Amino acid sequence: MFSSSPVTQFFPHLLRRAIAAVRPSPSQSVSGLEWAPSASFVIHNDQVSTSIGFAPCTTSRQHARYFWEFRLYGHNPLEPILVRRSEAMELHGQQTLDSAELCREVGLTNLFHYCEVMAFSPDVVPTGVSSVLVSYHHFRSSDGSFDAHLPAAYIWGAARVTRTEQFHYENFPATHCSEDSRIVVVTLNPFVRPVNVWIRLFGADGRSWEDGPFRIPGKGLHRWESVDAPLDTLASPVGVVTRSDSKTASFVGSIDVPSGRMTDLEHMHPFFAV
Amino acid sequence: MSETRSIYPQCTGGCAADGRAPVRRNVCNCYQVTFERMQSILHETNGASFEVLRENYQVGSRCTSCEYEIKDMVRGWQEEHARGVVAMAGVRLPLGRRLGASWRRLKTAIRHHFTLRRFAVFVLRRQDMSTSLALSNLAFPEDRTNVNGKRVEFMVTLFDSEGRRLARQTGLVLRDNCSVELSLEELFPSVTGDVTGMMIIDFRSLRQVGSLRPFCVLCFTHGNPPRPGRWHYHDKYALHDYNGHYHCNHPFPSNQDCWMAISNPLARRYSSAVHVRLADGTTVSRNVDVPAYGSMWVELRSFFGLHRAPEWSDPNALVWFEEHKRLMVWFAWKQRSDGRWIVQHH
Repeated sequence: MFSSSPVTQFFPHLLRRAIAAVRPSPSQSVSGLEWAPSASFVIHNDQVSTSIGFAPCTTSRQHARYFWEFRLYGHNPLEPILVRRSEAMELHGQQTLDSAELCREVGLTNLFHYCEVMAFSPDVVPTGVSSVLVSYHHFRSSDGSFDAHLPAAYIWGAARVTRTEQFHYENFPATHCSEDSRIVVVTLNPFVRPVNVWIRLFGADGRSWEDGPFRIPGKGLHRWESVDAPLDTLASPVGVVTRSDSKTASFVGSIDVPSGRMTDLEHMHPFFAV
Repeated sequence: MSETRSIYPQCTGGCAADGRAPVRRNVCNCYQVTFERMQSILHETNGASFEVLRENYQVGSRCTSCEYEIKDMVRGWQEEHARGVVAMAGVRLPLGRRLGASWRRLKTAIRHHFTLRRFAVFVLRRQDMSTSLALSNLAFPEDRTNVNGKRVEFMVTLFDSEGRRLARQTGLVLRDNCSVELSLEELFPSVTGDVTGMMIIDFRSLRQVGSLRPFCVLCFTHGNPPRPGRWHYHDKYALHDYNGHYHCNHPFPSNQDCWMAISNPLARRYSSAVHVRLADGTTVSRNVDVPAYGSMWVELRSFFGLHRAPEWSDPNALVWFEEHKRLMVWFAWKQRSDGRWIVQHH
């Protein structure tokens, strides 16, 4: 409407500036949000199993039909080795998958595999800032020595404002290090292309030590242990920072050295930009 | 104008030989589209959607692994454009936008300088377990200096379950690139005995949270002979009312007791119905009522009045809160056989 007005013809430059200054920002509209998947992993062996639970009410309050698709990846990042699709669920419904049945379906005895959960509703779009319906993964050992209950990691669509520059970083403060305990870090690559990851340990006094790079294949994961880390030179509490050239998600845990078993596992966080 | 941050991470200790940034970084590997080229595409298309870019520039149209990264870049570009911090070479932003951006930056700087940045975490102390506060003040690895300066100042206030202030420790300092773990005894020596409550951590003049998100470590003993155990949990990221339901989808695993920790970080009462749906379709509801700054610590079976055999478990049970007003909720599981704990927020 402005292009044909005399004002536009007389002061085109000024008017364009004024319009640009007051026009609504593109980011003020979030109507383009679509549901996005989240990333996690499955452990299954003779000691540890995984139960994956999904409830739509995790980040939704809208009564609608919800579905989730579970994808388990092997060596080929383009082709999951297993896809399970749910029936329609209501808002306060819940479904679980057990790693033992996943093992049976793919014909393997052990699993240490990257997986994704694509949960969505065909009826409603995400509201608010988060577009991910997160699944929860409960890891458990048969002898009761290890348990962890972790949300799947955001690939995209997280509510938080993170700071990523040349690299993506995640951090975890105050890990426990001793002669009988060492650190383990599991990093997920949610992308099809490979990524590099570095692990850096920070002593309480700021002294640091870095290991890497480690190449993680597409839709794959990497496990790192602090076997070669000079933990005795780093003052406690020790912080863990992962650095990767794409947006990865990392988890940190402890291994009981005498038994060789994992005792805990928790999720790391990116650096926050606000 | 945006700040220039071109400092590569410094290598220390056993850093890899190729720890420096790669010379060329592709966003779309298939079509060899670099990060810089992607930025200029966004600029010339005025932040077009991923679908338009895929159609016209082919990015993300082959293996699709860059789909989310490009969508992130589009969103980031739009937000930076809205804030007026995008400044491509040879391009001038409208005067109004630059003035608006400067005014917003000034307001943010004033707000950060004169107001406290507040976090809250549930705390607990019993004979065999106690919470400690873990803080890590790491400079962003690609910055020359810590954006928060050479040190951050903070204070910690302890509230009991009824929301009464028990103690306050002021003048705490954490230097740049240092980490600390402080027990309740170290923070509040005057407070003795059992504690169920909440710690509020207030930072002064914080420009960026970075790595400073406060964690608590639940330190406990378990097993026979007793061994130390630890579990981290952090402030619940909830600056606004939640857009889902606070919930737990694993409340009754076998051989474990599930506990619920609630802290109300606001100066108003929180009340809500809390429901549990069991696998047999039974739904039981109870109310929670948490005073301002108050906390709760309850075992879920007792809370819902579920009188079942000790070996009973329900892998498909679901607990959820009706009210989505801002609240912090954690769930903790105790292994019956050896008393080990794990904690997770929801």
